[in-house]
Amino acid sequence: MKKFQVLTDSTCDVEKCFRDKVELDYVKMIFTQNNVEYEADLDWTKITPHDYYEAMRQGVRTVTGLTPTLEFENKFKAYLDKGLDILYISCSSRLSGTINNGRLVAEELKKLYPDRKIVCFDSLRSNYSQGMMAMDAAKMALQGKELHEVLKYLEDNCLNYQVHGTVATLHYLKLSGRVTASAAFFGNLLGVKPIIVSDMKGCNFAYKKVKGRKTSLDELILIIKEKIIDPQNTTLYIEHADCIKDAEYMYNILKDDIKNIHISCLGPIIGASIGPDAITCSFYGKKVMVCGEE
Amino acid sequence: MDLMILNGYDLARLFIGGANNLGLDVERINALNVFPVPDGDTGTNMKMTIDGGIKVCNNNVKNIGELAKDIARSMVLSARGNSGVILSQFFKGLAMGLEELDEVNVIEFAKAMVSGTKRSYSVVSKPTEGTILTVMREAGDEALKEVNNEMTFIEYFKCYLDAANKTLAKTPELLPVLKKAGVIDSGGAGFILIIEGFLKTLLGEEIAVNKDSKVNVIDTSNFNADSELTYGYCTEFILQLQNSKVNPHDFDLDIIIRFLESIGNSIVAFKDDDIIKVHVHTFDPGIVLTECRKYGEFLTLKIENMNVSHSETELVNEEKETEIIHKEYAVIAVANGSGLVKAFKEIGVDEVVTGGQTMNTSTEDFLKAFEKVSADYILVYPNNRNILMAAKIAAESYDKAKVIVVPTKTIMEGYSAISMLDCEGNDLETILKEEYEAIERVKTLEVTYAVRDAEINEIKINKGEYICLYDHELISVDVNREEAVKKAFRKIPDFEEKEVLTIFCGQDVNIEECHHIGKFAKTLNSFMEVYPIQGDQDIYSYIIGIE
Repeated sequence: MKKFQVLTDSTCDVEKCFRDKVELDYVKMIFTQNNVEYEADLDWTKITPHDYYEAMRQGVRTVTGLTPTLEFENKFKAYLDKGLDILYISCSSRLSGTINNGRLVAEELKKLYPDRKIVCFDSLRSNYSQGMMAMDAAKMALQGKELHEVLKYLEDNCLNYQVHGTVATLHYLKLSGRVTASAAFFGNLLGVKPIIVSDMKGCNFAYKKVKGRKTSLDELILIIKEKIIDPQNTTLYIEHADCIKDAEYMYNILKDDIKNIHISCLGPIIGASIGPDAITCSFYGKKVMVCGEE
Repeated sequence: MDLMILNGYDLARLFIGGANNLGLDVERINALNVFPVPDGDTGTNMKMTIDGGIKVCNNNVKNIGELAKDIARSMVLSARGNSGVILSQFFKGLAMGLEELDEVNVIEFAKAMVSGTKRSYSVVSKPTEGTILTVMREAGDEALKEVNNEMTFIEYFKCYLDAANKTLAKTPELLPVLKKAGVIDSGGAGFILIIEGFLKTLLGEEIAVNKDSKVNVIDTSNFNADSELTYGYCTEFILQLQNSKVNPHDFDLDIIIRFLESIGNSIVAFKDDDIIKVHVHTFDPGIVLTECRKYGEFLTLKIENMNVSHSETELVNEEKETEIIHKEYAVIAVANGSGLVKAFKEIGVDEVVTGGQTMNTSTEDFLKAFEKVSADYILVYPNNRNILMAAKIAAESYDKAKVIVVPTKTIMEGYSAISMLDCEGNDLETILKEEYEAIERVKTLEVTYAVRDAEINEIKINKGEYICLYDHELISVDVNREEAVKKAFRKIPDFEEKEVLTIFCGQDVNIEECHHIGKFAKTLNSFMEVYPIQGDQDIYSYIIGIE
């Protein structure tokens, strides 16, 4: 008997088939492109990933926004009214302030539902790494586990959920400012590709640079092989920002070593801050020990 | 002229002294400007703002409240830039504190100064500490705490300045971007100059008027068809709210602020009766104008590409002997030609020593360059095998830092190695290992013309034909330059496995031809990324890095 509902948000990138399997639901962030505001839905119903990233390539400025409080209120209430408590697993608070809106609404709703629990958990992650965490939590909820048990699991294991990535150009990282790196990293470095990891504090930390796209993909492959745990029983999620060829290049090299490799499209929120042709890889691995800030 | 009571005449004198004192040091303030965008115009903006107030100081107004109001109104209209707007609002707040008063004692004045601070804070949508705001707040509060009936205005301003200077000195601790650049906050420094001008006037010091009003020449040379707009546009305007569109007096400024927050940053906006003044950094000034015209019409409007003004700062810095900041690692490279020098500076080289093929750099040239930096380690990239020796001798004879020569033999090796340099958190050994790997990885294709007939590697060359050298070995010849390069690409054995092509275009080629070459490279290898750079080097039409 399920005692609480697991919610996450638009940066989790989990597709419908996976969400349905574990009854995972999410709150939508928003983004604006060409003066049109969209809800960042994970099924790309209003705009195709190709059109979205192609517009960015043409220089269309894309801006993202937090999940509105109303969206939180509606979602939270819907489940509270069904008699379920809530565990909301958010995008890293270092990348988005969405969790703050969630907490505000949770605080408000506690007055209306004094006996109920609404827990907002900062995943310190984004992409499928956050998504995997949410799926695992939702699975445990389905098994009838208590909220505090699942929360304990998340606190203990959150750093095992890893996400690594690389980008085609430093341009979008510079614009969005959502990455930690030394000033020298962001000089006018032609052809230089950063290797980025979601670090211990939930920052996107550019900790290494390599020359050339293929070299950067090869570097990611090395990292995955080194960090992944139990590759024959786990899934690697490769997300691409409209550059499926590069995802497939990685797939072909990794397919013999890792049992399941899932390729999907990078969601619009993270996509806006790392840009078209970015690649991210999420998996369960050894604990992340790097930290971009001193 | 020490005073216990201040009237309109006195304030006018102080104000003119403050403005002139700022005028003397505008360039220094500009050079300090790194926050929020290093566009090097803080000093100029503050000066233009305060000059707006000077106009009314000659009107012989005895009533201090009235004069302060006139000054503020005038400054609000002339305000330019973030710190200019904040400064104008400080005087607006000061005027509010002096309202309806004929003359004031020092306590009343101290309170009005604090009212100025409050007004400044209220117009910035996200106040940042470590800026002019912090300086005026802490100084105002501290001086208000100390002030008493017996204090003269000289004593008050001394006390205010003491506190202000203390705060200014710690701005780098509060704002990391200042610390990284090794400077104090420019707006705060400008503000202190004004207060210092007040004090100097009271002490009877002459303050010269800086008359050489410089014509602002905008250098657009390094924003070209290939440049990327990374800072956006600094957009500033004064909007006259129109009765035909809104109710100007009840208009809610938040509507505009919320809109601005959705499209930009560094927002300063405030309303003065039926006038709205806005400063915002945005990538799309067009939509700002369209949106704001819904409420009124523009009295003034200024839109500047911040990448262009940014580059001005860099140029100024080059000429000026600024204070040297000590680093763990400094980088020195040899290059010739304005484009190459700029390209190396852009990727983080501290000093570029001119020299190269036809003008070999001497040991003395290197030693002079070493003196210009301050670091524990100096990494030297000679970029030419003929200069390697001079660099090594210079390195051995220098004792103020450990100098390491990274033996780059071509410009391309140097450029590539420096672009991969990652000093933070790594030890010297790791850094050098990565640098050697970078050098190993990059191959250089040099394109030039034959000065005489010759035969090399069984290839016959006629005088005037274009020749391509691949890592110093002749690889192709053609009367047509573009063809010569294409032939070379086809002959390079592992061209398909390479990923990055960096092309330095020489003085004699146009960028068009370079684009053809880039396109051709992509037909041979779809993974290839091509980066053309205006190198302006002589002798070589192209220096191409292939890695």
